[in-house]
Amino acid sequence: MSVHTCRSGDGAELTISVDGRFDFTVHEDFRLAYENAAAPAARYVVDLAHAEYVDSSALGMLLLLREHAGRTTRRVSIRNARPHVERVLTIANFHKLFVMA
Amino acid sequence: MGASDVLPRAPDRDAREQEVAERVLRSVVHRGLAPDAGVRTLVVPAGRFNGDLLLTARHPGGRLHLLLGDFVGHGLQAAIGALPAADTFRTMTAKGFAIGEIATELNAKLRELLPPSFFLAAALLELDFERRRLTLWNGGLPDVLRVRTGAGVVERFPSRHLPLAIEPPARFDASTQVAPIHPDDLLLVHSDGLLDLRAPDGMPFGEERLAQLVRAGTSAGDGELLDAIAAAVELHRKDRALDDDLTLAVVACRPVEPVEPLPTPRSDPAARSTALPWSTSLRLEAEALATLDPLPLLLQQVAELRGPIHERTTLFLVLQELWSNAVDHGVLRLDSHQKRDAPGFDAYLERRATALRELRDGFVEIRLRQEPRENGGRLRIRVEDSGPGFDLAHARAKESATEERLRLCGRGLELVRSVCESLVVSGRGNVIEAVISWDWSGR
Repeated sequence: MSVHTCRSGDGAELTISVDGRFDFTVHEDFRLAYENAAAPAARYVVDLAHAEYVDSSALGMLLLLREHAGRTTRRVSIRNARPHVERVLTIANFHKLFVMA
Repeated sequence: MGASDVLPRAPDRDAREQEVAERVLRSVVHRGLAPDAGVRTLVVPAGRFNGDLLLTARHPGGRLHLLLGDFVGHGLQAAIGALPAADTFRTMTAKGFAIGEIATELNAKLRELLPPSFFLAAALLELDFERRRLTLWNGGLPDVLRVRTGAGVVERFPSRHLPLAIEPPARFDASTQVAPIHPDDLLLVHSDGLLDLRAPDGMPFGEERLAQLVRAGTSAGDGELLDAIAAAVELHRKDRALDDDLTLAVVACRPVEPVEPLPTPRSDPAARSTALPWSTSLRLEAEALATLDPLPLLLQQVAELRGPIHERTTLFLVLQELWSNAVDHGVLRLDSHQKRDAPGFDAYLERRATALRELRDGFVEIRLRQEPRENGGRLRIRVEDSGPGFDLAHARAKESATEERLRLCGRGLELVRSVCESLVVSGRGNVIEAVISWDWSGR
């Protein structure tokens, strides 16, 4: 499975990692990763260290997560994007909606 | 009927829906696909339709509007968005709206219509051939390139905004990038399908390959450049299927007459009758000057009042020039000599934006008066501004005030004079009246 989740010690932060291709094929897994969480998290982190590729439907999935988190910019951050993945996020100006780290 | 009866059929139905959606979307795309003589396009659809959208339309003043969009999602979802997008783009362009306003409307409309994970990455371009100016809004598309013979890429216009349909209307940023263009320039707009195009070994096409083609190809003109890129695309992908649609437009900055003639009322006898007498006026005060564009409204009024809408290009040109002359040089007192080179042009636009933001006093008033005449009519367009005007006494010492003012205000007003019956400056040099006349007897 290419989508993994991990809770922080205090339970406030949910990290979702996507490996391999972040595209329409992981749509369902990505959604379940935050919808099936035992309790809503205060903060979400999407870790893309092992994502080799993102397409526009991945950007759509990130927007859905943001919607789920209540549209507050500070609640969802995207981490460890590789240069070509970061390029896609930059062209879409997603730093205006997410914390990029 | 049990679930087992339904489930096996679902893929079939999906495929059929996909097919219908594709057909709808393609008809929308193709209907607008570069009817304009100044635009050459390369469209390589992927097997699975991803929803690139390319539209062109002519503004009443003759300007070219182009939209290249890349929908997230595909099939039905993309088709649903394409229809209102194309409709809004064409209708607003025909009414004389600027691209910032069109982007604002597209954003609001698509956001209302579509689910939250859906968006349209798009670049909107406006080419004003008369003023040699490009206005551009880029939200989510790769850099738009300005290229020139022998020089390759001379300017890049990167994406500065989120794609359309994401931000709520109150947060939408409609600010545009503006740059001077030269008649020999070409603009290159493309969806990300080009840079991401994979060779069989996985190597992407990439920006550097494109820049090299541009350097090599711009000596040969727009057709050649497009052909060179098309050949390079085939060479690169060999027989590998595309992952994504690929759409590319090469736009000439040299004015080209639109292929589709603008609508004229010649076939409508009622519209050809003697003009009706009426007058109307509109006065915008300081804050309104900074935020409203009165031209679409005025054009609409002229149309509803059976004015010379068959002369819409002339009409728009005159209104546009007199309006911006009154705002820029009358109310804001900017010096147009600054606009001569590219850095000066940028500085000018920056000063203009600042001056408008800080403006607390001032107005521009436009009066339109139509008079009947035998077999036609005459429209007087009088524009008054609150500025100090031109020093008439000083000018008379040298030559006529009109001549002097026209000389000082440059190309814009000369252009107006060339299409009008007359152009007269009065008051303290803050009132200008242009007369457009028409006659049906010779037609």
